[in-house]
Amino acid sequence: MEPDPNPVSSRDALHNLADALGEDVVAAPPERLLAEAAEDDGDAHAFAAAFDRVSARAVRQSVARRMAGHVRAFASSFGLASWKPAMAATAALAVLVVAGDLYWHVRPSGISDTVVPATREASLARDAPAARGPTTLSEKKSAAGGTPASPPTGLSYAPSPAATEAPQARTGDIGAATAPAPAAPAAGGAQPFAANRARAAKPATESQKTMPSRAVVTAAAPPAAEPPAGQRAAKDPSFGWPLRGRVVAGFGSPSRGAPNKGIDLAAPPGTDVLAADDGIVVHVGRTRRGGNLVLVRHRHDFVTAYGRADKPTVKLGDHVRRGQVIAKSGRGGEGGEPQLHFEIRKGATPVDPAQFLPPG
Amino acid sequence: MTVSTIGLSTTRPEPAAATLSRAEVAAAVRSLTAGDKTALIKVARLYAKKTPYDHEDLLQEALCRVLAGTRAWPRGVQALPFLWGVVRSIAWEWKKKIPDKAPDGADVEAEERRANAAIDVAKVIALFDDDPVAQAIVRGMMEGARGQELQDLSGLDKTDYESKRTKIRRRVEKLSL
Repeated sequence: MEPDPNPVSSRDALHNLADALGEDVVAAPPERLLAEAAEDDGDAHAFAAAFDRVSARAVRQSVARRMAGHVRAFASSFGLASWKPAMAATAALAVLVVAGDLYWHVRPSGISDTVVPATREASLARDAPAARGPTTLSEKKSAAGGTPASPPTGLSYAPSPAATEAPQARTGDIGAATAPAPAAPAAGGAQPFAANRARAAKPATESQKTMPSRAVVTAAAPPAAEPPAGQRAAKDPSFGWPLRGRVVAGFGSPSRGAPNKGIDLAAPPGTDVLAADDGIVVHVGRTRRGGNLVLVRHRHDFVTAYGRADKPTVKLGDHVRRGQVIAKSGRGGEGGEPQLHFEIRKGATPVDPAQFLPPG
Repeated sequence: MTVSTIGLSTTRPEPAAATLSRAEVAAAVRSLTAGDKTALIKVARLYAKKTPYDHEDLLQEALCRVLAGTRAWPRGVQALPFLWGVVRSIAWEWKKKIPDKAPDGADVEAEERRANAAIDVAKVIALFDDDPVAQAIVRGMMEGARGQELQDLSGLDKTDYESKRTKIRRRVEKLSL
């Protein structure tokens, strides 16, 4: 039979194949399937155990769905069949969800509650109240009362005058957390990941162990300096470097016959790839040229892309925090050099990451 | 003429519902054998190859729909074929929902995805470079051929054909795309 280099043009080919082979699986004797499972996983009941785990999750999920269905039925039984009350109820639910999400992000369990080693002061400088305005509840209360928020335990930064003079900084818009503020000095000049290395060198305090959310994430993220004024909109977020590495290909440089839509960072395989900012994972998948691709959606319609990554540690829909490890760097790259491809997109349009990244 | 109403007013036994109740569904899922569970995991793995989702996500969604009652289970249909059908229909449903571009609307990966799909197909076919008959069967499967048509394509008798299909299935199962 003559081999055909491209015999199957259907884009459904793999699903068609799964249909056909699925018939065989269903028709196969159970003992054979168990023997195959033992051959594949070393345990004949490994698949069954996996099924039980999935089944348990499905039961919980189905209960939630049924409850949602009951709520809808309940609403309709009270004459809420028309769209207006239904929309109002939906809007109220949405407000609750958003409020809960906001609370989750600004709850006072982060920096203000954590003992921060002195070596992290520089990396935290950009998060000082002068730069970001009140974000924790305690800060908000202080701002509302006209008194400056007390610095968190362990922090030694001095609030700049702007912190007390300009409490008009947003209180609820997380997206403005990194908005450039004239009074925000890019203090410290610390190198990216200096704080991370410092953290690795020192054992975590008890409070860090028990409250790993905001403070630990901040420590893992490289310090960000404010970009030149006017280069980006006031509400645009800043991003942290996904890893510490040499930029081997800049934005717009020729890459495979087209301008590079991001930057390529040299990194040894296995280097932690960090989320550039808080966001939601909207894609995790393999690519032909780039190993794995992870896309994270951020505030204000920004998306960061991490290409040629290896071993993603996140999955679709995960909420990630700035500095959270989302993958390991892979081996792929131009010329055989291990690289991470990093893009920042505004919507679907790639933008120059240099506008948003601190000087590295 | 007098029409007797005897019998009309008596309560007839309710006919069995056409579909299983939620309790029956839950009981049926609980009573799946290890072989059934293994088969369903294997099927989900087949459909989840080269997709953004995990096979457990697919299986979980299928079970969730069945348990929540959004996917009716016709009475008399055995568990394994039914659940396989649910997994299959969700896999196709999700496939249609996944565009040839990244879910964030960016189209930078569109061409790459299409190219990847062709490469994955070629990978599967290349698995059987040492067995032209199996390769022909795989091509037929990918094009949607089924049953007798495939056996005719192979030119094998029933026993050899089934043996060949088992070989194909095992190789594909072990292929990580």
